[in-house]
Amino acid sequence: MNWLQFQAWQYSWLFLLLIPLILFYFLKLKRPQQRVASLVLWQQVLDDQRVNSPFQRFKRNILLLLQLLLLMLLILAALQPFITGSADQARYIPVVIDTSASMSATDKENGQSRLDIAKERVEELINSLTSGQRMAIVSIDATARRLTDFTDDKRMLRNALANLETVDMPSQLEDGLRMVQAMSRTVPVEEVILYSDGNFPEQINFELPFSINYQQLPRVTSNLGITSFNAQRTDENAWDIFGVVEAADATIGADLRLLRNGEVIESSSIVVGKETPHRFGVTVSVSDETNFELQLVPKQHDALAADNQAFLTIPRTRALRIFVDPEMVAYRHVLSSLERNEIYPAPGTDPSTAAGDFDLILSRKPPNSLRSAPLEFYENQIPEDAKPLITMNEDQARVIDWFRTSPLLEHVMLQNLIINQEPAYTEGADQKALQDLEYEILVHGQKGPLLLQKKSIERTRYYLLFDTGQSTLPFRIGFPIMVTNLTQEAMTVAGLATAAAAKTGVLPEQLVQRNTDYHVDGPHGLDRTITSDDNGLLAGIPAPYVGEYDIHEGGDLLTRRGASLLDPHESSLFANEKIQFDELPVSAAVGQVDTDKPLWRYLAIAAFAFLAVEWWFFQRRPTGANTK
Amino acid sequence: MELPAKKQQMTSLLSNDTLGRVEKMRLLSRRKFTNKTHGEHLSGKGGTSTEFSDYRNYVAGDDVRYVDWNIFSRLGRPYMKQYRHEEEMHVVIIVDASSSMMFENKFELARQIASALGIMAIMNLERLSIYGCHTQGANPFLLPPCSGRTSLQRLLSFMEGLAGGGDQAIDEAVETVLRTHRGRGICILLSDFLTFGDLAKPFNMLYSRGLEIMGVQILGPSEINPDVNGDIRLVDSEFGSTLDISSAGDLLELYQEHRLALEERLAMQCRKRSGRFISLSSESTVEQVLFDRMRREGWAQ
Repeated sequence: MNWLQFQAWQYSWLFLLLIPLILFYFLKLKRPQQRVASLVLWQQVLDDQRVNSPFQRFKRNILLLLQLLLLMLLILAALQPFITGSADQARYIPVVIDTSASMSATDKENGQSRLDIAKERVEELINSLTSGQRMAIVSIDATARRLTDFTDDKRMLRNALANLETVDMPSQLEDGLRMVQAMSRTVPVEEVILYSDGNFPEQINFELPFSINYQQLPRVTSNLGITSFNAQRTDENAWDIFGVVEAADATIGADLRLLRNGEVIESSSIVVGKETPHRFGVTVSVSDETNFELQLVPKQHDALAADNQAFLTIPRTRALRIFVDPEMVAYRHVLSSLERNEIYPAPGTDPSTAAGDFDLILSRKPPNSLRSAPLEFYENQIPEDAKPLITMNEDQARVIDWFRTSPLLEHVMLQNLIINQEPAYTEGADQKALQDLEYEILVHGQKGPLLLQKKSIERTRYYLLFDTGQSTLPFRIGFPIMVTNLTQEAMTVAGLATAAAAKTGVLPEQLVQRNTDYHVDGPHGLDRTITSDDNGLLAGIPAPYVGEYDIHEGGDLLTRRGASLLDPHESSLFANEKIQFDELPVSAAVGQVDTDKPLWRYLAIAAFAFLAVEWWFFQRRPTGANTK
Repeated sequence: MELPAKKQQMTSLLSNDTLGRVEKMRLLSRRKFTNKTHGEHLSGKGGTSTEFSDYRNYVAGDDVRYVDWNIFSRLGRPYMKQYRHEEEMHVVIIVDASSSMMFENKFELARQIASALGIMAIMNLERLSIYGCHTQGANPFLLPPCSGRTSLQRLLSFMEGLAGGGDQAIDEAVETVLRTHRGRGICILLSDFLTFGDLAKPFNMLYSRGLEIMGVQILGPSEINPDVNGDIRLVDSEFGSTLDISSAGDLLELYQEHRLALEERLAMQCRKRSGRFISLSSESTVEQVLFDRMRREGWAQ
C-alpha cells in the first residue's frame, strides 16, 4: 500500500515558524490607513457580508491564510515527503546496466535503442532517490565497469548515465554481479536492479548473496547478422572463405557483399529466416597479407547494425618453420611426411646453426635462448621449476587418464601405453603444487604426471616427461596423430592454416618492433598508444567496437586489423526471461521498479502557485468599482 | 475713453451672474401652510386676498360673508368664494457642518446651495433661518430668521463665515434645531446623511412641526465610487473610529448596493412625509444643481 512518508523529519521544527507568522500578522499587521468621511456605509457592508457569507471570517484573514498555506507547503517540501513504493526502501541501490551489443538494438518505430530505454528508466530511479539513499551504477559488457560508487550525488549519477554507451561485445553478467558483490562487502546491499534485454546465457554460475530485480527491456526481433567469418587454407595459395548469416525471429532479405582490400569481389542477394541461416563460401587466391570484409545490407529494418560487418585478415602464406632435434628421429620421420613444412636443421648440419625464430620447436634439450617459437615441445624433460616436485623412478608407468580435448591430444588414444620410466611426485608434492606453477597436466600417470603444458602470453610449451624411445608411443597410431596435431596447432598459431575474423574485445597480438610505441586509430574515435613488449609483441589492443583499426608506427600505417561481433547469441537478440543462478532462478519483473515518489517538487510548485494567486488576488482590479 | 470698472464680486460663494439668476427664482412648496402671517408665498388653500381663486361647496360653519350671492340667486345653492392666500413661509436650512462634510468639496457645495436657496427665500419675502450644525452638544451656528433684500448681505456674510468640523450627526442636528425653531414652511437639509442614527425620528419631528422636508444629499466622488483595494484600515473623520477591511476590492459591489439603498431609503422617508430628496455629487457645480437639477425636480422655478 502506498503511503505518505517523510524523509527529513528533522526539519519538522520549521512548523514553529507558523507561530511568529501568526503573531507578526496580528501584532504587526500594517494596514494602510485611509481616512473617510464616515464609516456608516462600510460598516453596513461588512455587517451584510458577514451575514451573507459564512466564510467571511476566514476571508477577512485571507492574506494570513494564504501565507500560512504557503509556509506550510514550503515546510512540507522541506520535510521531503514521498509516497512509498511497494518495495522496501533500500539504502544502497546498485544498478547494473547491460551495455552489450544487443542493447543497441533499435525499435523500428522510433529508433530508440534498448540502452536508451534503460537510461530513461534509470533516470527515473535517480530522480526518485530520497535523501539517505545511495545509488551505484555498474555497466556490464565483456567486462564490468563501476561507473560510480554508491553516491547520492544525482548530478554525478546522471553524468555517468549520460556517458554510458554500448560496446560491440557480448555481456558477462557474472562479472557485473561479482563487482556488485565486491561492493557489497563495504555496504549492505539487499537487492540489485538489473537492466538488460536478457541476451545472456540462461545459466549463470554465480551464488547470489543478494536478490536481483531483473528489469527486462522490451524485445526486438527483427535482426540479421554475420555470425561467422573465417578462412581455411586449401592449397599453397588457395583459401576457402566461409561466412554464416543468421536472422532473429523475422525473415529478412539483404545484399551480401565480400570485399577484398576494399573492392567488391562477390555480391549476392539473400533471404534469411530464423531456421534458415545463409552459409556463404568462396575460394580466393592469396599470396600476400589480404584484408577481407563481409558486408550485409539489410533490405528491411535491422535492429542491430554492429553485426552487419565482419573483417578477416589472411596472412601471407609460407611454409611452417619447424626445428626438430636431430635425435628425435621418430618425430622427424612423421614431420617429413607432412606438407608445407620446412624442417631445421637439415640432416647432417650442426643443430646450433639453426637458431632464431621458428613456428614450432621439438627438442630433447631444455629451452634456451638460441631459438624460440610460439609452440615448443620438449621430450624427456622435466621443467626446471618443476624438478623439486617430480622425480624419475626406474619403473614402468602407465597412463591413467589424459586430457582428450587438448589440441595436442585430439584423437590420440593413450590407454595401455607402456613406458619404461616413471615420473612420480616427490614426497609432499602433488597436482596442486604443479598447478600453482601454472602447469596443466595433460596426461596423468600412476604416480605422477606424464605430459605437462604451460601457457604464457608469448608461447605454449609442452613437456613430455619421459623418453618416447623408452615407451611404446612411437608404435602407436596415436603418435603420428599427436605430431600432426602439434603441427596443426603450430600452423594455427602462426595463422598459416586457418584464419578467423577477430572478435571485438582485444585485437590479436601483433609481432612488431620491440619496445616501440604504436598508435592505434579505431572506430568511434578510438585513439590509443600502445607499446610493444620485450618480445616484440603488441598485445592488448582494445577493440570494443566493430570496425577497422589502423596501427601506425610513427606516421606510417603499419597494418590494418578488423574486429567483428560474430556472436550468434547477440545477433539472435534472444531474450531470457529467466536467469538460472546456481541455487535459484530469477524471473524478469512484471512491472517497472516501484520507486518512492518524492513530492517536494509538487509542493514547491503549489507554493509558487499560491504565491501567484496571492499576488493576483491582492493586485487585481477591484470589481464593481465603476458601478454607479 | 475710460473703460468701465470691473464689477465687484458680491460673494465668494456665488458668482454675480448666478446670484442674479437666483434672485429671480423662488422655492416651490408642496404643502399648504397655515401661518397667520401674510407673506408673498401663494398658498394652495383658499385665502383672504382680493385675487379670486375658486369656488367650493358651502358646508355648515363656513363664514357666510364669503358666500357668492349672485351664484346663489342663479343656482339656488350656496357656493363659497375662495381667494388666493399669500402667506409667509418659513424656510429653514440646516447645513451639516460636521467633519464628514469636510471632504471633497462637499461642505463648499452645501454652503453654495444653502446661500442660493436662502437668497431665493428672502427675495420672495419668506422668513429664512439657517443652522450650521457641527459639534454634538454645542449650539449650532445660527442665522436668525430674516427676510427681505435687506437681509441679503447678512445672509452672505453668515454663509461665508460658516465653518465646518465636528461630530454631530444629522439626526441629532435636526433635533437640536427643532428645540428652538418655531414656524412652518420648508426645511432644507444639506448633508451627506451618513449617520448611524435613525433618520425616521427627526423626519417625523420635522413633518409634525409643519416643515416640508427637502433633503439634499451631497456625497464626494470617493464615496460614490470608492477606490480601495486589499487590506486597509478606514478611519472615521468624525469619531476617529477605525474599521479594518480585507479584500476591499471584493466589497465594492456590495458597497454600491448599500449606497444606492441608503439613497432610496432617504428618498422614501422624504416622500412619505410629502417631502423631496435629491442626491448630488460634490463634483457638481452649484449652477448645475440650481438651474438644472432643482428646476427639473420642481424644487424651484
